[in-house]
Order: sequence, then structure tokens, then C-alpha cells
Amino acid sequence: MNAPEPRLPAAARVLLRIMTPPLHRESYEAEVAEEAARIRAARGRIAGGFFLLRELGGTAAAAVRERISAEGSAPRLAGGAAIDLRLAARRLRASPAFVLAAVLTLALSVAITSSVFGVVDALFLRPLPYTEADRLVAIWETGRGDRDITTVAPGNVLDWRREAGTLSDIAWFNGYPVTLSADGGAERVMGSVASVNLFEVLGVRPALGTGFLAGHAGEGDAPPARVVVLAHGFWLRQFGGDAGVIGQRIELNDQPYEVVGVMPAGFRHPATFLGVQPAELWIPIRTGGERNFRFLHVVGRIAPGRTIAHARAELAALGDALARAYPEQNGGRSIVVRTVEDQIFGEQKPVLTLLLGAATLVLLVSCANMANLLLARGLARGREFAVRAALGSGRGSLMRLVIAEALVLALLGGLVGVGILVAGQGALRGWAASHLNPLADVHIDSRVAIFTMAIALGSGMLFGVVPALRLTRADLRGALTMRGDTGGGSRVRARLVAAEAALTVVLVFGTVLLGRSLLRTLKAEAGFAVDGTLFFSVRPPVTGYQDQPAVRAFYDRLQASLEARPEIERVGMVSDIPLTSENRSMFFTLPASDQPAEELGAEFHEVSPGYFAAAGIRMLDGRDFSPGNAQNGGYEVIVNRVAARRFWGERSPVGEFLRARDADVDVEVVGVVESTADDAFDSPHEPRLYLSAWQTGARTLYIVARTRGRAEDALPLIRPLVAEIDPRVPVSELATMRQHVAASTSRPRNMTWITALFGAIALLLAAVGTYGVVAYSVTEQKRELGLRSALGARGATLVRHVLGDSARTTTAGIAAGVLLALAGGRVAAGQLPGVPSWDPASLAAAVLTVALAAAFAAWLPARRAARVDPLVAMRE
Amino acid sequence: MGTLGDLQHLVLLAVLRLGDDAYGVSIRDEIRRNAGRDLTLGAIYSALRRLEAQGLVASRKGDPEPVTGGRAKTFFEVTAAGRVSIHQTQRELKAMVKGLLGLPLSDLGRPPR
Repeated sequence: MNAPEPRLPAAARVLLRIMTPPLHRESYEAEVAEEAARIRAARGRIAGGFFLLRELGGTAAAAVRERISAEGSAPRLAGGAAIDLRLAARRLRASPAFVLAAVLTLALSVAITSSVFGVVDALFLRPLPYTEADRLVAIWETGRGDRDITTVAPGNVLDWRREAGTLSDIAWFNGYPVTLSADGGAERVMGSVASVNLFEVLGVRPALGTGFLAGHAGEGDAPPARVVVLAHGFWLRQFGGDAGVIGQRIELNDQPYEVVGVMPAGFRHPATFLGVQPAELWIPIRTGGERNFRFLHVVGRIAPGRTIAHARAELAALGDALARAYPEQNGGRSIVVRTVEDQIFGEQKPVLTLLLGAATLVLLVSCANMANLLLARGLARGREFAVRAALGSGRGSLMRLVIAEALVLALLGGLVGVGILVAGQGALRGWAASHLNPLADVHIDSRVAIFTMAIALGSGMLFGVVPALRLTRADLRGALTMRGDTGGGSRVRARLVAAEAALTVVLVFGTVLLGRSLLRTLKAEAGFAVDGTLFFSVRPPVTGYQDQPAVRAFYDRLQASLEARPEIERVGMVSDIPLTSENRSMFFTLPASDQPAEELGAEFHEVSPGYFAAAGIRMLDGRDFSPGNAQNGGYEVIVNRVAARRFWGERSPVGEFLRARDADVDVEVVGVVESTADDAFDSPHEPRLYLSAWQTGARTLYIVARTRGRAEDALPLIRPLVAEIDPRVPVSELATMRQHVAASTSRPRNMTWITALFGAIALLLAAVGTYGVVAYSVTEQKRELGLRSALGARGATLVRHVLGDSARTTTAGIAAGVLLALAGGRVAAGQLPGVPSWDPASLAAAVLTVALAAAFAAWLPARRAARVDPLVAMRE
Repeated sequence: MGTLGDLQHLVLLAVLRLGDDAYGVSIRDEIRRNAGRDLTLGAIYSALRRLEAQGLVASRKGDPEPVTGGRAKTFFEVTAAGRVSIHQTQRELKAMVKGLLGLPLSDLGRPPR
């Protein structure tokens, strides 16, 4: 018979693989698969499933036994446990609905917790894709006289490289946004300028080409070579994976660069673990000797035979020497050396702590529900336990029965949870990569599977213990004579629900806190108009627009054409749109200042006259650029508020001059504008300088347009309008400012959504738990309710009677939750920026939500109490 | 050469009984049929691995099954050392049981089932 080889489900295969040593494993797996198929065909799927479960359990037991040297005792232990589990499984088979509810609840919570673990694993526990990553360090300078770390000044890093013997080599880099020009148009790409030894220090060779050579760095005053190394993803996208890309030229920022290398697929730019943007290409950096402007990220490799302690000691001494040698620039600063793990932990820790905390809360709530379910089920079997006890079963073996059931449920829940994870891992990976860190290459592999099963079984023990203790109390006579249990059982169940309520309050509080913090962030001073603004980028190609007047003429026509439309109010041009970080910097001195010629630096942008009005950036002092070129007047610059304060203090900088280093000209400050937000919305604004695009001769610009109506409505008319002027000029990155801002704030938004999801799940679970408790309470108190009803109690009174008890405990639970939330809030405020520790409005909102949910969940079954027929009730 | 554990003993005996046809599932069935013990395949393989490590059984790959893509089964057989071990264990058990025969079974306690 040509039947295909039977295969086990992935989760079972993974688990079996973990638990068995490799010898004969193939045969074993194949035989298990065959047997499972045979049983499934002969006795149905459930039987097949139980066979598999038993196999897994037995294999686990055998794996344990292989560790125990004594031959005699182990088999009996395993055998006894196996019997218990089998009996438990058989008992559970009789109540499929219960098993389904319990397994699904647990599987969901376990899957959530495991996904968080999967992300943590991908970020921290897996090795970085560099050679001997544990010998890599990140090196920072500190601020003057304080402990905050800053990026590094080039002059200093050159000295470090020369002097430091404990480090075999040091490399440095910075972000470098480039405009890639190709036939299809212009595209903005995030690249990196780096020292030519970066890849050597990281220990990764290019997959194609030679990569950077020492000669590419540029000797002395000579600029570095115009060569570029591409990242793997970029190479696939732009060149379709063409191996002939080496030697080709690409145009970056209007200059040709030769491709000399392509990095392998797993390689990640080290910036990603430093918490800045990943790079898609690398260009050699020009490193001068300046010590004033600090913008370099530095990584080093510890020399063989040395430790990080050696490196720290040596660099501390070096830092002191440099501070003495250059007191104005380096005085009061020191050098900080961090291992890569410290570095990653520092960046991501708050987020992951939050996630883990939230996931744990959900898991605990779910455990409480499971315990409740088991208790409810067990109470119905009080007689069975009493009979067993009378026949001589010790309490221990009775407890083992209950725990065995809990463990079977836990095992099933864990397996289903692994299944959910395996099914959803694509989504999880995508989310983590785009919203947490591109290094998070989340795989659901055996480690995550083990973790999932471990959590599931651990939870099983946890939620099995309470029912086990409760149900096996030596109350024989009571159990044998009365039906069910009054008082004690309900109290425990109610307390469990109260615990759930407490945890849910904490979760919902967290959600509300994050949500409000997020709102504050979004409303924070952007400094520019977010609504009613759109932008796009164009690049007049060199053919047809060879010189600057032609480019200028194109932009003038474009502006006139746009402003002629009724939908567009005004238009301006800019080299970089707001919210992009890692922009180009310029260096300058202040010739008029009475301080010695200190070299300063700031990020700069090129803008057209009228840009600030179009972008909604307020002009605070002075005026906008004059429309002319350099021939008409001197060079002009506009500074933002932070720059004005930082470089000129309280004086107005209008009319002052600064001397640009690279151009060696004096530039006059003509105006001051409001500062705008950076990539991270709520971090302090940076000083910025704006030059006139018509004076610098920029070619590739973004057009920013203020619209009269909604910006979204004006989007469709852009492309036809540009095509009308010149169809050869491509339009790229067309979007509204609101969309752009949304993309930038996606990270805090996602955090808030995730916590909200967890909060909602917890709320649902707690509500279900409350419902169950009250429903059970109604059922077991039927006689009493019937009595009261016969004695004249009205419906409302009956409902109040049933609710009264659970209301009291739930309120106590909520109160406990408030205390927990306050304590937790204080801890969270320490970890997360922008989260206040005392936020009574959020707490009130959380309490209200949980109370309402619990009230509703309790009211639904309590209504039944009003409808109890006294005759029927008393007859039972 | 030490004595065999309970499980290993059963598995070894089953392999001996099955002769050429001893593999995971057949061993399990043989034990179940004769001794009434229902072992998991995992436990059996675990015992087989230890037996093999001790040199008491040997494994070989059989002919592939007569289906497309059929796998080659792993068969086990008892080595000479294995037979010696069986004899030794049997001798020890017999020595301990000697003298106990004749006592009514109830005094020896019921098996836990």
C-alpha cells in the first residue's frame, strides 16, 4: 500500500525530540507516529490523542528515570504517577465541555506568556550575529560633570584607538540618511557612515565583494573613497539579489558610489542594539580631530587574554589623560564601557518588564479561574471523595487525584498553547521586528516549547493545589449527608474571584496609565502642524536640469502650480521632514563671541522661503529667508529656539554671525523659529540650523503643502500636477503629516494596545469567574432561596441576598487591587519614562471598569435567583 | 556486569522471545500480551538504549518496508552478554524465591492495580 508516512503533529514532535536522546530517535518517532495513526483509525481521534499524551508522559517519566541510578524505586514512582494520570484522563473524558473551557483558558494565557518569553529569548538569550559577541563592548563618553552617557567626539575616539591596548580594535559609526537616486525616482534610505574596520571588529565578512579596505578611509586631508557596502535586505530589494552588483555604481545624495560589498543575510547593524535605527548601507566616514561635537557610536573588541575590567581601567586612565590634555573639550568627562548585554538590557528593559508583568498577571488570573473551575467540579464529587476516604485512601492520595486532573488539563492546555504559538509565530515575528527591535528574530523552537510546557505544568500545580487542599478536607460526615457544600467552598471560590479582580484592576490601571501617557506624548509640542499638511519628495534628474537655475526654476513652477489650486494654501520646501533623526550636521564657530573660538555643531536642514509658514512652525524673532541667491546678499541662516538659547544665551541671535567650517564663510542669523520634535516625540528638542535651499543649491527636496481642507483629500492631485510640469520627475513618499507622525509613534501606541489587550483578556476572565461563582451560589442556595421566597421575599431581595456575599469579597478584591496598583505604579514610574506614579484619575477609571464588569457578570446569573419557584426548590 | 532493572529485564526477555522480529511496537505488544504490563514506547526505547549501552542488546537496520519511501526499521537482538545477564538475574530471583513457594499468595500482598 502506498500510503504516505504518518507524521506526528509538530508540537508532539518537538516535545519528543526534546525528551529523547538522539540514538534510535528516528525509529522511535516513526513508530509512535504509526501507532498513533493506527489507533486513530481504529478507535477515533480522541483515543489517538490520548495515546500520544500517554506516550509523552511515559517518555518524560522514562527520561527522569534514566537519571535515577537506583533501579528499583524509580519505576514504581513513575508507574504510580502514570496510573493517576490515566485515571484522571479517563475521568476528564466524561466532561468534554469542562475540559474544553479549561484547556482553552489555559492555552490562551500560556501562549501569551510564552510569546513574551519568545521575544525576550530572541532579544537577550540568543547570541548576537557577530563573532564572539561577548567580547564586544559599547563605549560612550559622559556629559561634563554628570553621569549621562553621550556619543563620542571623533578626536577622542582616534586617540582611544591609538592608545588602548586592552582593546584589539575600535570601530565607530553614525546614522546617515541618504537619498538614493535611481531611474524609478528618489528614495530616502537610512544608511550609516562608519569606520572602515567596522565589519572586522564585529567579525563578520561580507557575503559578496571585499568590503571596506584600509585605503578607503582616506589619508590625512583626502576624503574617504566613494564606496558603499549594502545590507542584505537592501541588496535583495534594489538589485534583486544580483551577484553582479559588485563594481556597479549607485547614486547617493547626488554622488556616485561604487558597491564594494554586500553583507550576509543574518547581519544586523550594531546600532540596533544601541537603540537607534538599522542601516541599509554603509559608507566610510571621514574622521577629523574635533573634540567638541559628539556624535559617534563606538564599539570595541576586547583583546584576547584581557577582560572588560582591564579595558575599563585602561580607558578610565586614558579618559583622565585626555581631560587634562584638552580641558575645554574633555574636562569633567569620563569614558563608560558597557558589555553588549548591558547595552541591550538598558534599552529594552522597561518595555519587556512591562510586557512580562502584564503577561504574568493574565496568567495568574487564568490560574485562579482554572482553580475555580476545578473546585466547582470537585465539589460536585464531594461524596466520591468521602467514600474513598472512608475506604481508606489517605489525604495524600486523594490530593494526588485532584492534582492529577489539574496536571492533565495543564498538559493539554500547554500543548494547545504551543499550537497557538506555532500557528501565530509569523505574526509575532513581524510585530516584534517592526515594533520592538529588528534583532528580535522570534522563533518558536524547542526552547520556547519547553518554556510553554513548563509554565503550563507549573500553573497546573498552582491551580491544582488549592482545590486539592480544599476538596480533601476531612469532613466526611458533612460530605456524605449533605448535597454539595455551603459556606466553605463558596468562600474559597469567592476569594479566588476577588484575587482575580485585584489583578485585573492592576492590569486595567496599567492600560489607562499608558493610554494617558501616550495621549500626552501625541499632544506634546510637535512644533509643527500635524493636521492639514501633506508632503512628498521630488528630484529633478540631472539630465534636463543640469544646473542650479534650472532646478530652481522647476521648484518655482511647482510651487506656483500648487498654490494656484484652491485646495492648497501655501507651499514650502525642505531637505528633511520633521521627526527624522540622525540628520546631517554642520560645524561652525562664533567669531563675534567673547569666548575662545570653540567649535560648535548642530544638525542642519535646507529650506525654501515660506517653508516655516507652510509647515506651521512659528517664527519667534527676525524674518524668513530672502528669496534671492548668494549673488544678491550674504548667506543667511535661521536657528531654532534651542539653538538660540544654547549658543547665544539670552541675547537675540538675529544679526549675529557664525562661521561655517566646511564652507569657510560667514553666515548671518536672520531669524529664530520654534523648535520641533525629534524622532522620539517626548525627548528634549535639539538645536537646529536652517539654511536657504536656494543658497546651498539643494536638488532633492521635500515639498510641504498646507491644505485648506483635509490633507487626505488633497493627496490625489499631487501626482498629476507634477506630471503636468514634467512627467520625467517622479514623486515619492507622498503622505500626510498625520500618517507620518502615526508611523513615528507606533512604538508607544503598540505598547498601549498590547497592554489593553492583556487588560481586556484579564477583564473577561475575571468576569467569567465572577459569573461562575454567582451562578454556582444561586444553584446551591436554591433551597434557602425557595424558603425565603415562600416566606414572602420579593425578587429584588433574593437577588440582593445572592449578590451580597460576592459583592463584599469582590469589593475587598478591588480594594486590594488598588493597593497593588499603587505599589506597582511606583515601580513602573521608576522604569518607564513619562509614566507618573500618582494618577488618581487613571486609578479611578480602572476601579470603575472592573467594578462594572464584575457587577454585570454577577447580575446576569443572579437574576435567576428572583425566578426561583419555592415549591420546586424546596422539594429538591 | 550488574543485574538488570525490572523494566530492562522485561524488555530483554521480550527481545529474546521475538527473535528476528524485535522492534519497538512488537516488543511492547509482546510484554503486554504475556506479562500484562502496558508500557509506553518511550519507556521501551529508554530501556533498549541502556541495554545497548551495556552491551546486552545490539541494533541493526532492517530492509526498508515494501512501500514508497518506506523507512528501514531498527531491529534489536540479544547479545551473548545479554544472555549471560538474563541467566544471572534469573538465578538470583530463583534463589530469593526459593522457600517462599507454598505460602498462600494473599500474604505476599496484592499488586497495586
